Amino acid sequence: MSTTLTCWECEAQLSEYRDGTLAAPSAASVRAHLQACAACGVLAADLNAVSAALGALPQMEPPPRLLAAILVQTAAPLGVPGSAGAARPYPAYPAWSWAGMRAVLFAPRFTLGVAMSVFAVALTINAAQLDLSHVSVADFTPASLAGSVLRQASRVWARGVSYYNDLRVVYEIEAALHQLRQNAPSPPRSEGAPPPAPRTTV
Amino acid sequence: MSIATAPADADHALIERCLTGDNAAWEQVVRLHSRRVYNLCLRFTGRPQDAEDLSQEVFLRLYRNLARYRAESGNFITWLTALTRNLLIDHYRRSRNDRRTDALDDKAEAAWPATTGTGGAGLDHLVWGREAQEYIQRALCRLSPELREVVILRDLQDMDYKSIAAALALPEGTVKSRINRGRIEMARLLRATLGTSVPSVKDPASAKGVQP
Repeated sequence: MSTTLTCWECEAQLSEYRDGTLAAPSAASVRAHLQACAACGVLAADLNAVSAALGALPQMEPPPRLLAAILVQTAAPLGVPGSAGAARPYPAYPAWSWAGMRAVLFAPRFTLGVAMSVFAVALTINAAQLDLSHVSVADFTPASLAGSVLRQASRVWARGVSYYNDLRVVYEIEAALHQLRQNAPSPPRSEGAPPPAPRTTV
Repeated sequence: MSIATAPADADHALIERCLTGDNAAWEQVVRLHSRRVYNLCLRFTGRPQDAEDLSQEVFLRLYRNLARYRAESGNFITWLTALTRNLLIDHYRRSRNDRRTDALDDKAEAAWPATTGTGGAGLDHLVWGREAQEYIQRALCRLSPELREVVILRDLQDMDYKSIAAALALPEGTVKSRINRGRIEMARLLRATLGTSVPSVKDPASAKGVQP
């Protein structure tokens, strides 16, 4: 036996009615309402038309290059731990095998890292003004190493001290000049009438 | 437009073979499912280029997560649909700003006919014609993503309520009401757009007394 539905209740069940998932009594209620109510009948017809039209949209064939692109990107071996598709450029090798070492040594990332390290060391040596052309094995005894380090340190210290002294001289000269400039124009002014307010010069 | 889906066991067997490093099996997985994924992306985004990029991303992610699928071991289609849908929603959020600027351009070149909206005929004639398909795709893209995804999965991919609920991790009741709301919204959009401007193939007398 079907119960009478409001339009709102009917509307809420239209899709299920179309899809045939309503229980028989509910379906009968909806059917009865649709026959009685013109507005709901139109809505139901529209909904069915939309659903049918969506279902009739053609299935597009993906472009062939899509398949190719997917297969290329997923060409790395699968199931080996440490390799997860295209995310990792290194194939997985047993630890410390020659093939594994070679793969690492010839990887662009590794080469670039080495080159950058060499560059950084060279830059440091250059900045510290170390002369590497006269280095011999004898220089690597602990005593000579300590000696050279001390020499370098004292040289750096001496350079720093002289730089500081130079700066101090420059500042002293500048301060003296400044004072002279301040004092030079003041005598003529002070000769006039007593100033109304003391001038603050500093 | 129902899609022939391989039996679940066949999918499981294929995935097992993929996990042992069988390239042919993987290629078969891609061949079997790329069309479905591509069409889902295409209908959701409405743009072939986006659909292509997203499909590629889906399969890349699928490839990396095959082992996880084996562990969870549900229905493969449901699982793949969930994966695709998550990427689509991500893409939707990412491209929100692009769409906002595009909307202005679209308005200028929009070929939508005058919105008469008075509605005399029903929408029965929609199934026919390339132009009608354009309208449907555009109306689809104007739905909110929550409604769009369920409508596509139900009407285009022919999934039942239960599978959709599983793929979207939603209660079945929510899926039902969203499908209903989505279809009604589509009907409203199309009626407002087409109104009486496209002649109905059916006898107009059958749609007498329409009061939208």
